[in-house]
Amino acid sequence: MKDKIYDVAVIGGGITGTGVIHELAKYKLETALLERGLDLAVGATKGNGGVVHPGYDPHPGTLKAKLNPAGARMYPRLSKELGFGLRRTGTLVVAYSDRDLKKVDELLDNAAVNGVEQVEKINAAQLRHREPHINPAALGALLAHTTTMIDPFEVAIAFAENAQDNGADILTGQNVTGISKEDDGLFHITASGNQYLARFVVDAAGIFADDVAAMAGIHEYRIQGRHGNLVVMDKGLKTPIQTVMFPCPGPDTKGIALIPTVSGNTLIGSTATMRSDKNDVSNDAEGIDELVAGARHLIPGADIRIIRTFAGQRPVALDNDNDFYIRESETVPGFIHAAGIQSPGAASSPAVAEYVVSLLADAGLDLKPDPDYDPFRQPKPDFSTLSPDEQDRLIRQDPAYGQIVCRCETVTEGEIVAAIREGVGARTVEAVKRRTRAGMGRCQSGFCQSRVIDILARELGIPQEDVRLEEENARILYGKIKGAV
Amino acid sequence: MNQLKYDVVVVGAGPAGMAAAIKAQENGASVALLERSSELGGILNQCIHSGFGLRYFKEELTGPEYAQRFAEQVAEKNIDVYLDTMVLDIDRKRNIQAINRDGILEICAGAVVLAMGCRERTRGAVHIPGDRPAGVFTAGLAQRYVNIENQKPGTRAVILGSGDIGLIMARRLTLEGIEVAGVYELMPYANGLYRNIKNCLDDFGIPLHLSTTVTRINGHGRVTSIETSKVDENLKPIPGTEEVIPCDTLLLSIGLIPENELSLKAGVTLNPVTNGASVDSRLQTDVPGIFACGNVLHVHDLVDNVSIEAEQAGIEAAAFAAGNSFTDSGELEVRPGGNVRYTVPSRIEPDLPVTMKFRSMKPVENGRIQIKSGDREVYTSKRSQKIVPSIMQTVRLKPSMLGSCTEPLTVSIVEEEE
Amino acid sequence: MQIVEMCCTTCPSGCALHVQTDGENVIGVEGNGCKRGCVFAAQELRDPQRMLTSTVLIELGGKQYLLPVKTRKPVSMRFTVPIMDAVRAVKISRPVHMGDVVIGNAGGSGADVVACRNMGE
Repeated sequence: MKDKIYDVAVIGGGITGTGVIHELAKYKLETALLERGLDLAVGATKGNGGVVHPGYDPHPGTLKAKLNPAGARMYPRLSKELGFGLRRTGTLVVAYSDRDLKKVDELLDNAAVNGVEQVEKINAAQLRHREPHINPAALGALLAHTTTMIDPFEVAIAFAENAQDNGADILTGQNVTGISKEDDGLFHITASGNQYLARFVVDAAGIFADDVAAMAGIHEYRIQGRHGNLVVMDKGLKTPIQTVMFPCPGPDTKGIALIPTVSGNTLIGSTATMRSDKNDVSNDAEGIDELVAGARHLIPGADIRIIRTFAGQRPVALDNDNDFYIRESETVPGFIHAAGIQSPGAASSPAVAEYVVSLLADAGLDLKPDPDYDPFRQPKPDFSTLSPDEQDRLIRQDPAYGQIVCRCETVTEGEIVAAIREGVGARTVEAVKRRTRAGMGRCQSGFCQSRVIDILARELGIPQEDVRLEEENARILYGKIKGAV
Repeated sequence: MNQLKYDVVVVGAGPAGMAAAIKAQENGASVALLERSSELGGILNQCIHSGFGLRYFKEELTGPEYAQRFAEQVAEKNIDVYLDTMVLDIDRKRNIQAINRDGILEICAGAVVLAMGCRERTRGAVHIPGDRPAGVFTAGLAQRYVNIENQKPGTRAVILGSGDIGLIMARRLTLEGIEVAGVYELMPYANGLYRNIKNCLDDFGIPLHLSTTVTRINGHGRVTSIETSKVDENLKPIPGTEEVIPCDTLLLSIGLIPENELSLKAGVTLNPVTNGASVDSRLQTDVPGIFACGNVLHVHDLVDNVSIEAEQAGIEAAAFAAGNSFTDSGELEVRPGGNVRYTVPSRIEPDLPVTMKFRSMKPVENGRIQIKSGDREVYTSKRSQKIVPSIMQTVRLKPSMLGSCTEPLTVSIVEEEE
Repeated sequence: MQIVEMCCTTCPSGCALHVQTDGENVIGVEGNGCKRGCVFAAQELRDPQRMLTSTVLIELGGKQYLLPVKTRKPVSMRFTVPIMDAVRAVKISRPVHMGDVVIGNAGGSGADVVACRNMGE
């Protein structure tokens, strides 16, 4: 590997890093993505609500104001090319007071400046017509029609798989511990015992981006995490919603929202508190209480049936006006910061990627379009969405599609095997879940976990006890009960 | 696609499904038994402890023995068994769509018996704060690892919830060399059967902490410890009572929920308390020809009671499929009264005998069961007895007792002074 | 004379027994729902017995499975550890029927450990 010189090494396999490698795949370049996790999208990207905000919110003049609307507009096309789920829901920003209504007007003005279309102010009756369960105290709302929902981890995996199909090296389990720019003009990167050489580096390491930069001797900014609790609710709630719903925003965050997801579950998210421990993605009882209260503020009689709680840290670049931090290093040329990608990072990602590539070009990277570039990702069968005839045909081709593994989400063995064998293959139980939804339903893998472990062990040729839940140290099993050697 | 037709289709081949299929076949029906796993018996196969069958077989059996006795009868009878076959859909007209490695099956059923059993409540349902490492298992999943998969789920465990599976697992883990630090129960009383507390905890010196719950899970990657707290009378954690227990495993035995996704697809109305179907004296749901029994109807205490209930469902389903007209004598609603959490059935026909099944909300030392129709007393138990939520109560009512009732029945447990 | 409180585990009712004893023999039992409570109390005071269940390794067609097993009758708790040692040491490599003896006189308890189901046929 030492001999191969990459044009660009992207560090970090979240939605930012994978977006960049996907954008770079359009050009004749040797590229690699280094991700320390055993799978992609295991940081802020998985601790995320998945709302593609249309961009009415960011302050004009900021990077966010530029990249958020641009990124959001790219998603419908990307969804078709890359075959990831996209659900158009619209957003309501609900007003409860005259002050809130003024805020709605401000947001409308903001939207106009940011070039966001299909945003309007609606009155209480229109609001209730759209969302019958809404708090009767609501006076009106901002309605942004173009908001869509994605599963950010599904998008990240799709970005990476398409880049891989077009020649990029997607390398997981590569924990970068050293970077130096040597006299040969190349970045020498040490990651999990391997050496990589690259002409340019894109640092998309999320919450750890400043730590990665520091390895290269760069101390130009600092990252701190803004921690957020989220909860997933069951499908089939008695108070269903169609639209993403926020209260009027506070100074730093958008407030507690109800979010109808791509998969049909509803999320409540998220709280916002700054944390000093970057590894802390734990849930706290106060945070969950705050979420439930926030949901009840929007829908007083909300049917709240929680099946899972999770949390994430949004990487906030300090002393940066709450904006993204994307630029070439002032001290080490060729090192590009793609940092501080807090909310609306998922929405902005495709535009962030284009912007990063333009910065690489400014820094001297030669961009020759690759005539063989294929923008389409080969879709994998999603069994539960097929018609009975199509299901029958698939089973006759491969009987593994006739073996249901996850009952809650109707996931077959065939899909799990495909998730392991194809694309950026799943190596862990959570990676299988992200690709197939196995274990994501209301039983939360109580029935299918042992089957998924068996399939992973068989396909990867390892003993069951070596299968991990998520991280390298996330051991699930401790060897045989009987007949252990 | 394979198209099939049966008088009775039974969904699920655990104890309920097997008993229903056997009785339906004995009553003249052509029967298909659909099971999503690779063998008959359901969850009994992993319940290797003894304590089953005392009521039904009058002897103490292990789960696999109990299952095999029924499986042998299924094999002897003319019942078409479909293993590794999962039902994806049922409609109100009893058209069933199932899937297995041969393809999609479309089955037209004269009557359907729902016997899908139940699933365990998970961490999300009680949303325990903290990290989300590996090492948090439902007790049933851990039981599967230990008893079927030959896999060790950890080395030192804490168990949250004193339900029977949790207690049984405390003993199983200890016997197989996995240390159990303690069992923690939110309520001020244990949820499992007394004999399981004695045989599974006391025998092995495992402490049971009542009015205590897990308030935090710690660990990056794998569980490294959990935090427990005492709770007050409103079941809220009391600040300052936190204790950190080092462990790598947390088992959750925090309740079971009937698995009714299919029932809902068929348009069956559920009872919000049991999460099972609302049924009549015949165990028929509000969709004609669709019956329910076993843990999919309501979570039972003993498998013996599941078998007995399921046999009735099998008989009724065969009768429906044969076109025996069900007399419509009008229905009476059944309501839970004082200290009764729910009743099954939730509506009855007064001219049919019926077994009322119900559970108390809280334990009472001297309770008397009372069933009334308006002011009229239908039934009162002869002597007062200790009544606890972990034991299902049953009362058999004859048409002669119900004959002239016109008002809804109310089932209550009346506490008496000693 | 002393009173010992115990829970009868003969059946799921789990009657709370108040047992009067002189230290060795049962003088009287209260709280029992049936006669088996007295038998249980006497045994429990003298030498508690339990049916022990576990699994043994079984290899069939080159694959390993667990076979559920039990002691054919309740055995003194003194034998729990030796029986578990015997259960851990054994490996079967032939089909079995429910009731087949897997380990005779397991751990010197006087009880056989038997298979709880058919496997391999």
